[in-house]
Amino acid sequence: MLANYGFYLIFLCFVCSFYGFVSAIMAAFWRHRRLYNSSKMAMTVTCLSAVSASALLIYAFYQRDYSIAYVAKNSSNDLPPIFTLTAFWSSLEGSHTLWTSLLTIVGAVAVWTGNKDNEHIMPYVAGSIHAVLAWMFYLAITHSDPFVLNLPAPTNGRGMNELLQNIYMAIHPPMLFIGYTTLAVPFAYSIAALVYGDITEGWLKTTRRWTLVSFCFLTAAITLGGRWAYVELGWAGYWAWDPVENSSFMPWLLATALLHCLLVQEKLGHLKRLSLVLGIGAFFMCYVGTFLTRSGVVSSVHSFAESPIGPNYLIYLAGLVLISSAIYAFRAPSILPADTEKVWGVSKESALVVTQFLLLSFAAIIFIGTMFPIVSEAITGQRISVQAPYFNMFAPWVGLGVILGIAVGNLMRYQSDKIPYGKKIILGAIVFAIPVTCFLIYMGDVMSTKKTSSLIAQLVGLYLASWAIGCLFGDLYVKLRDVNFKYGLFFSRSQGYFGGWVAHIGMMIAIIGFLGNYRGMEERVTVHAGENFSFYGYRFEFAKEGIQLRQEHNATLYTAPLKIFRERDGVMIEDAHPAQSKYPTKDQVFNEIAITGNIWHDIYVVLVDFDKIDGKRVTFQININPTVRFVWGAVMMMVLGGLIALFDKFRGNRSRDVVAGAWEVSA
Amino acid sequence: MRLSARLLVSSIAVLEFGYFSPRLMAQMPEPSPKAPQAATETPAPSQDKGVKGLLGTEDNSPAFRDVAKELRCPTCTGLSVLESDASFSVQIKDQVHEQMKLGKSKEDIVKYFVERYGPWILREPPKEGFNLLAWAVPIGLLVLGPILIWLLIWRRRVQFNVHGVRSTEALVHEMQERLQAMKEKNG
Repeated sequence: MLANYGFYLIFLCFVCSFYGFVSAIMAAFWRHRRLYNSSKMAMTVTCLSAVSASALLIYAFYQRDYSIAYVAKNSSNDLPPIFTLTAFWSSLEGSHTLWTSLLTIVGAVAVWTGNKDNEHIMPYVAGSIHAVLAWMFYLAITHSDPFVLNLPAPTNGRGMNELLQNIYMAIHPPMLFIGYTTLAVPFAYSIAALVYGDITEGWLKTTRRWTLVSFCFLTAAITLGGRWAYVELGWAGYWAWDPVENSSFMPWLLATALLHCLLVQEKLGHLKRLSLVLGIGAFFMCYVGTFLTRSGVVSSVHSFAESPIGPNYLIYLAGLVLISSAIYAFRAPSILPADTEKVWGVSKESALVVTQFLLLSFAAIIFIGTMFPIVSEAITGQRISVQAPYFNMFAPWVGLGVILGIAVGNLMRYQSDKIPYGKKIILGAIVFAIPVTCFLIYMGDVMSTKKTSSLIAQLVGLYLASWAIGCLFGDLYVKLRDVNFKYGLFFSRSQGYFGGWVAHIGMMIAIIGFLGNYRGMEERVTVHAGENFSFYGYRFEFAKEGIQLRQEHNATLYTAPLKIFRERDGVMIEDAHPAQSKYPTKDQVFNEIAITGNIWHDIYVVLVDFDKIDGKRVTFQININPTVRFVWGAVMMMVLGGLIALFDKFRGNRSRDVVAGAWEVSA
Repeated sequence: MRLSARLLVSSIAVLEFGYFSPRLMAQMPEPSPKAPQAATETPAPSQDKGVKGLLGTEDNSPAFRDVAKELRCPTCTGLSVLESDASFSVQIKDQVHEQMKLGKSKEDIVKYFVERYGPWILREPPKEGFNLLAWAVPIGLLVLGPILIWLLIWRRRVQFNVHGVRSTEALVHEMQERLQAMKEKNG
């Protein structure tokens, strides 16, 4: 029964969004307000019924209604409540439903909060979102219907993917999807501005807000995904440059580039068309990513033809590119370059262009790296792999550019080739960076790096990153001095700048954290029960009793109790329990990793194998992962920076000075 | 039972695939034509050693790591055999150990694997033929991009210096005004 209602709701969504698309286009064509209102209503109805469909599916999960194939496939009777909820998006059909539901919510919010300044383009905005929705609901009906029946209903489900039974995987997908779907709004506004033929007054403010929301969610989501890989997969890293990670990273790069582009547009009125292209491109990249991951084209060109969803995505992507570029080709000339007297100069605007170049070329490199195996196989017939070493070859150079760009670019001013107090700040930062680098080298034990090239990369990277932090602080000081250290005034007036400042500091700390990867250490140790061994200044003591059995929810854990002591003073820092877990529904064994340590390095312990007969002999893999926690902290700073910037009341307002009132400060 | 601690773990390392696509397992790349042959050639004792290998510490040698991190895990996405304990990876690691015992250098061992499995086993595309493109394009982008930007800005600055602090629009406007004035003057 439930399944039927669910399917009806999704079908209703498709009909409504299709109607909404047609009515929005006609409303725009005839300038018919009531027709547009009708389209708006269609969006609302779509939203409500999509959310109801999702709610029905969640309800089915809690009812353990195995007559629905999706529920039977992805849950089982012994699944804990929290994972019963997250099982909803643990597989293809459910995640598609989640994505579409979120997109309807975003669409409804975007349509109902439409600024009066954007009145003229709203029908196009609604039309674009409706078009995307209609396609996604079409796909839901034809290829990924979560409400397919499975009769007679089995008494127990097949169980949720064990790897996804993790709190990070509970939060990561919804956040990533919010990040993706909020990019639909900049996309819709870009298309709308092109079709309408002008950038309206409120365009920039709205686009900036939604891009920032997306930036925050994407940043957090990508990191949560990395954290999940780190704590769950057991290969001691958080970023493998695999196609799925890459495809979530590319929209982030484009969205970040868009943010910087909007900044130039706001200050000078230049780069309008680039903003439009980036707005469309960022959203396009979200679907490229989904296409790559869902069609299976990544593993082989041949598996592409086997999945029915692949060709559909390809048609959609091709359609998106064709329509967008056709609209751009015909309408871009009507977007006038700059309606200001502002002339381009070698100043902050140029620095921002360099920033965009770096972000975009990094996205291009990742795109090439991800697509190259497919292209190569299609053209030469030879299969090749493009994995981490390839990307790691280019990433440091982009990172170098980012550091220099952030350090110098932030000091520059718009429309002026002079940097106020430039020499003082840059030289001051050069001096400031010396003790900071020494501190980082000493605390992070950098000199223990074995390979000379890695050591040099770290020393240079650490020095430059601390230098950039010095420059950023110098710039903040100068800006504060400009307002006589009236902090309240500074914050209310430059909230956007301050948000960016926090995010940039976060980026630098993240780079310091990434550099830790150059000096990671790894050791495999086989011990008998009761023995102990030393590694990297720690003493590890494997318990006398050997492997122990424990039951946790639906999993059986084979735990190897391992006490970790600091050798220096003999203090026990952790009673670690690395384990292997076995789930009733599957034959495989999964790793439960023990992670401890301090801010300078994580001690990462994996139970690789143990003697199955008496459990007295085990192999551990111990990884020392330096400065991983820097990365987690830094990303939180970046999200925080994005949030601070998001609530800047005045940013993006053309009439900022009027709104803000007279803010001239007497010296 | 053959214990495959991280077997599945790393093979689904595509992680989000987990929720993106349950088909992933089916999409595991079929081994290249030479691979099955390689698999059958692997003698049974070696298989046993593979399992024992997990209970040994011979993987710690730096020379071994140097080789193993260049070879991809055939059943995972994005990991080297060094980082993976999938059964296929363990087999490859055993083969690396065997080759190293024969006293072969790193280059020879890598070549041995490329001959068996094709260039697919390497983690980055070989720098030859069509695959050069994968290297040339990013390098070209990173090198030529800044030059291009610099040229564009430089061109703008030249215009800027010649004409003073006036934009193109302002200039056009000014010229039109002058033209208008001339027209009025002339008649």
